[in-house]
Amino acid sequence: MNTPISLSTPLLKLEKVTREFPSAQKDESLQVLRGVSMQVESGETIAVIGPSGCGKSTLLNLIGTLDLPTSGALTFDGRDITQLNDTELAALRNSEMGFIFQSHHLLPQCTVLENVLIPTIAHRTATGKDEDRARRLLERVGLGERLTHRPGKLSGGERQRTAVVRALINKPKLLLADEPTGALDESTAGKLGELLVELNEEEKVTLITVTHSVSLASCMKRTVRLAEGKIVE
Amino acid sequence: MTFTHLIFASLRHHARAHAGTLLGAIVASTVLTGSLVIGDSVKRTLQDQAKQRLGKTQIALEQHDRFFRSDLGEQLQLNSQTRFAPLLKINAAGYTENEEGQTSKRANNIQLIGIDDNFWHQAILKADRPPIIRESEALINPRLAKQLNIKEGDDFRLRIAKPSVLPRDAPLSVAEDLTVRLRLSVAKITSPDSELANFNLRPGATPPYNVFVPLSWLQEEAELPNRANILIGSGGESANKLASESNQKLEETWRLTDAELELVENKVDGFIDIRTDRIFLDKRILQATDGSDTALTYIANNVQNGTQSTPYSMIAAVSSDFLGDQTPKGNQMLITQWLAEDLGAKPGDKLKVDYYILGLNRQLEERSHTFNVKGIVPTEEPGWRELMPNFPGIVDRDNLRDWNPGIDFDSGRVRDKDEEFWKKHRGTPKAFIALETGQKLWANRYGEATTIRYSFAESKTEEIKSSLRKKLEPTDIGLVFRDVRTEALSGKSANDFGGLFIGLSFFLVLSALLLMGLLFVFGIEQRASQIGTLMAIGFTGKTVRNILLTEGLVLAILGAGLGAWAGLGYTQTLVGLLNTDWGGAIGNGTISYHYEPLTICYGVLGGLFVAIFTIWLTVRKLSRAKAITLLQEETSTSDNSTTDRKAIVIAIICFLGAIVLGIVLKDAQGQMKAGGFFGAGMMLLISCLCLCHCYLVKLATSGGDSFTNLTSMGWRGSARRRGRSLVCIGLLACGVFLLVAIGAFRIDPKEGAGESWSGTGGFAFYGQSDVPLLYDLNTEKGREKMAFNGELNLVQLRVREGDDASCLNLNQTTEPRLLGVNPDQLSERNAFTFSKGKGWEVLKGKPDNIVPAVVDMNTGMWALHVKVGDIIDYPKESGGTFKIRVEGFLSNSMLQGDLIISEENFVEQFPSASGYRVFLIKSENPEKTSEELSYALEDYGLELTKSMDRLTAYSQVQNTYLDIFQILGAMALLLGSVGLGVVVLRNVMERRGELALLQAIGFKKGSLQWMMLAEHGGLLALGITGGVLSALLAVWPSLTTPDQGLPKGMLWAIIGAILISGLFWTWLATVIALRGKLLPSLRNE
Repeated sequence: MNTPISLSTPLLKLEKVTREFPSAQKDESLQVLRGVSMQVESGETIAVIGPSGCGKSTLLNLIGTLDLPTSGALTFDGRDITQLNDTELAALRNSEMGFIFQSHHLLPQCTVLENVLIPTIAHRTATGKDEDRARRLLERVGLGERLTHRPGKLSGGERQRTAVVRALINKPKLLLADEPTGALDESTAGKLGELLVELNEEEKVTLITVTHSVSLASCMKRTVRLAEGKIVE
Repeated sequence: MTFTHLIFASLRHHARAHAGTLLGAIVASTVLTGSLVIGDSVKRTLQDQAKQRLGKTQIALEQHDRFFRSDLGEQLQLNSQTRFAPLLKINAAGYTENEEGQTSKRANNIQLIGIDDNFWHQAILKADRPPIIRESEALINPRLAKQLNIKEGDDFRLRIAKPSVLPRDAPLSVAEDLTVRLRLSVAKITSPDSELANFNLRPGATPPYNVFVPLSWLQEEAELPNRANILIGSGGESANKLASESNQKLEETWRLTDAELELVENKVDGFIDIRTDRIFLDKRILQATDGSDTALTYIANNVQNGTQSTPYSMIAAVSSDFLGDQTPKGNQMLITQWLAEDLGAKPGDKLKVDYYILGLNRQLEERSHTFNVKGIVPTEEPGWRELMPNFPGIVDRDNLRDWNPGIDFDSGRVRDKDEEFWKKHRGTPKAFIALETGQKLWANRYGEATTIRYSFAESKTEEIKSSLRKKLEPTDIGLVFRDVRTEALSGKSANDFGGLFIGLSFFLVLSALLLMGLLFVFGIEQRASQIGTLMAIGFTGKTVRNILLTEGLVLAILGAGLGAWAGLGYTQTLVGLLNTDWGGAIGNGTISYHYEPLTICYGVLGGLFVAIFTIWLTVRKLSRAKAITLLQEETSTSDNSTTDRKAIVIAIICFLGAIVLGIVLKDAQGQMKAGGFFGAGMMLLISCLCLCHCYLVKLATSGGDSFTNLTSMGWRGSARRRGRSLVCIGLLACGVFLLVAIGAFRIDPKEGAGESWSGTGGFAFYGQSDVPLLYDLNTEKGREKMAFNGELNLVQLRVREGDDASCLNLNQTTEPRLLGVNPDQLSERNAFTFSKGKGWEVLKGKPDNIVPAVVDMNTGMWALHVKVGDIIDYPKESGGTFKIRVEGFLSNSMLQGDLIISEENFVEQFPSASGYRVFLIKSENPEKTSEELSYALEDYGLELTKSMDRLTAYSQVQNTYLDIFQILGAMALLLGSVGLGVVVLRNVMERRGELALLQAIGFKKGSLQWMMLAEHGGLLALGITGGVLSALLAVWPSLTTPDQGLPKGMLWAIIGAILISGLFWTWLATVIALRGKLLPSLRNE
């Protein structure tokens, strides 16, 4: 297990985290994560890899506060996120984290620019600065000409780039990506991987991505391998 | 980017998906608004009818069987604006004759109204001057003109009950020449809009038959000079104020003559008498003149001393001061010299006096009393002959042998010396007895004295008048104005039609809302991943829920608005149907379409509320939803084991509850039994739904059981979306439950019609006459008096006119017609069935000084809004009110619309209401009876209605409402089956990939269709079975009630229609969803 030595507080810390799900058989449960411990420093890029069903997405969901661990400690930026209520978790996800899913999950009724701005209205009102940043980021990812287009008019790569910008709009500290290139062709996937790394540097954002893609994993500075619910290297 | 922007962008994008939701909201709002506007329409119709029947009339003073001065109104004028009009209203039967002099057209229950010019001040006349009528001419209303088929210039005849100041039932009143025939020609057929054609002080189901004639002419014909029995007034600031001011003024202006009292001065003999044309002075008058000399003079058929007797003598019972010290006490009697000589009597002798007492139906009973002769007084002293009241048939006769006194009179017994006495001394009493003794023998419900005597003094008469007017209130003699306008113009109906139609449309609204909710949920399910994304990027569940609620609100506002507009069309359709095919519900009257803007606002708000509430129910759980679950495109997860256990517990509790209720209420009665079983049925329905839920859970979780054919494979599919499947089962089961349950409440009037327990009471005819019959037609003597040859078996009822409180009258009624009956006559015949109460015996007596009454259950519940045990204040003849307690409800009877009390109590409260006007007639040979009775009682305006026809007319109201309920319910079920179709469509669309796979591995498209049909047909079968079983329990009491039963034909028709409709929509949805090529769906996966 590669655990960087740092004197500062880690951005993310997992200690003996487990996650169990109820099974079809009564009195039994399915243990997906079995005592995972890891630390993530600010600015790191991490690829979480492993075979299907090893618990990669579950781990990412726990980190992203979309799910809570059955046991163990999970701190983000020094805060124990298992102690936060739903509203606090939602606020944390909104301001400190960004999500990119395998499927872009863009709102079909909104334009590219509107989709990007949606996270800005979850807990406050969108400002002119937000729109400037959205435009700038969209320019940056090559979608400057597509601001008023609806998702239905975009290619798969463009949709995923829009989703990346949406994840970055609130200047999160942590960017979480779940198979971001899973639905893309090889060439587009490669470009998206490069883009993520570039943005990691430009936006000073920590990046954790779950992937089966060797090429995407190779773009990350650190790789965490999961097997049967445990970090194995 | 703002929330508003996001919401409107979503609405635009999901417009097609929202169309169904919008449609549901529109239907709900349409039905709600439409139903409320029906209330407006009925209200406006009743207001229009009230204006037509009242004109400008605000207040009315109405006397039953009593009369006041017709110029009373002139003295009441409060100011230049107020107008009063006296009317003399008499019941009449009308007919026309053909050239051979035979009756060609008839109309009963005609209001013959004597009017003067003042009457036209109560009308809003469009012409320059009011219609002119001369003597023997009449203005008639269009309804009567149509019935008698007469036009201006035509002749017609009326037969009226000749009014009499002295009640016909009073002792010594004459029961001959009861009717008068009038020949009239039509001067004009009046206009309802401007000439008060439909004038009527009481709201009725239909306009009356009206004949207007000159007041003075009618007074002359009826031998009631300067008398009226109605005074109407208008021109007040408000009706209420005018009534109050007029009643106040009445206290100053009423005169003793308005109470049918007269003061007779006899200066010569030095006395002043108070007398009445009604012969007997009642208790109130006596109380107002306490301390004065009082006499009660009566006719003795015979006074006997041993073998000697004197026929037809007046005997005066006098108060203690009348004859000074000589006044007799107890059984003492003072006899005149003439009588002493005639009988050879001397002080100490015992004289036997025979006299007649008049029973309830003029049955004479001869009684005797023995007196001791105290002394002998002169044959006549001044003032004695005036003690005889103005007995009709006596007072105006020159010869004693010509008497016609209203009792059995044998002129053969009159001797010459009797005749001589009559000529010389007229009605001078031949004997005097004590007042107390006389009152014991001869006092009756009409009064206890015939004369009150004062000593004469100058200005004494005025003093007496003043004293009497101080002690008597106009209300004591029924002189009281009531506000007839305010309530009439309020348009209040017997029932809240808006509420009624909301009730009738309840299931339609519910179906629309369920469908709306279902479609809205589908929309949300489609957007599950979007919702999950929003939550993942930091929106709280509450915020997402509110966004969706706001979207729903916009749809609800739009739906409610459009629905309100469509609701007006819905009302117009309902009004159209009520005026035609559904006319039975409103007594075949006519209602006009009308709406109030405020009602539409209520409809919009109601529609909005129910739509928002439904949407809130569908999205409320979103605040607890997990983003990760939604991102995986699942809207909810549930712990099957917990919900399963809960469902089993609820199913068991409801099932046991239904059984316990059924056992406990097995022997209950009436509403409690019906309500209880309905509740038990509902509990069984809930139990069925819970079991269906458990079954679906078991299907979903029982992985081990394999299926062997397409049908069982399809059936397994119904457990995939249990919520949807349960909504379908529930929707269908509720619909079937209601339709079947309501079907059992239909009344078949023909069932058991001839039986005494049925709604006809076993009577063949219901008869009503315009002129009261004074005799008991069950007795040979009574039939002889009425010149009826043959046997009769009937029950006679007395009538005090009032409002028609039957379900045929839409108006709210406060003073229903009152019937008086001998309860023994009905209990002997076991007539009618009581749904509540202990039979006709409850009418006997007057416990706690409250008159017990029985009423038809429909009248009690829907028109009078009373329950058994409730007390009603009812105006009595002598002013003020008396209390009536409802002691029993009749089940579905032909006696709707009336309050029934015992004859004994009736005559006590309404002594002046003579005779019988309603007849319940049994007959083995109806045709013969009808023919004979109609002929014998033609002059009485007897109208015979077959009991079955009368009952059918009433049953038609209830049955039409059930029809409406079932039609609206069927529309609701149609929506329900559309809902099933939508669910099928949705299920199949969601599973196109899976079905494509099945096709890829060799399943034929037809097989796939069959599989889907089996899946959803199972839901249909479960819904119908659950609904039918629960409904059968709910209507069990009705099935076991003798006069009701389950219409099996209708039940099968309903079930068949639902099954066919459900299968059709399922098949259609399957075909639509599976059309085209399925295999590309595999690639889309």
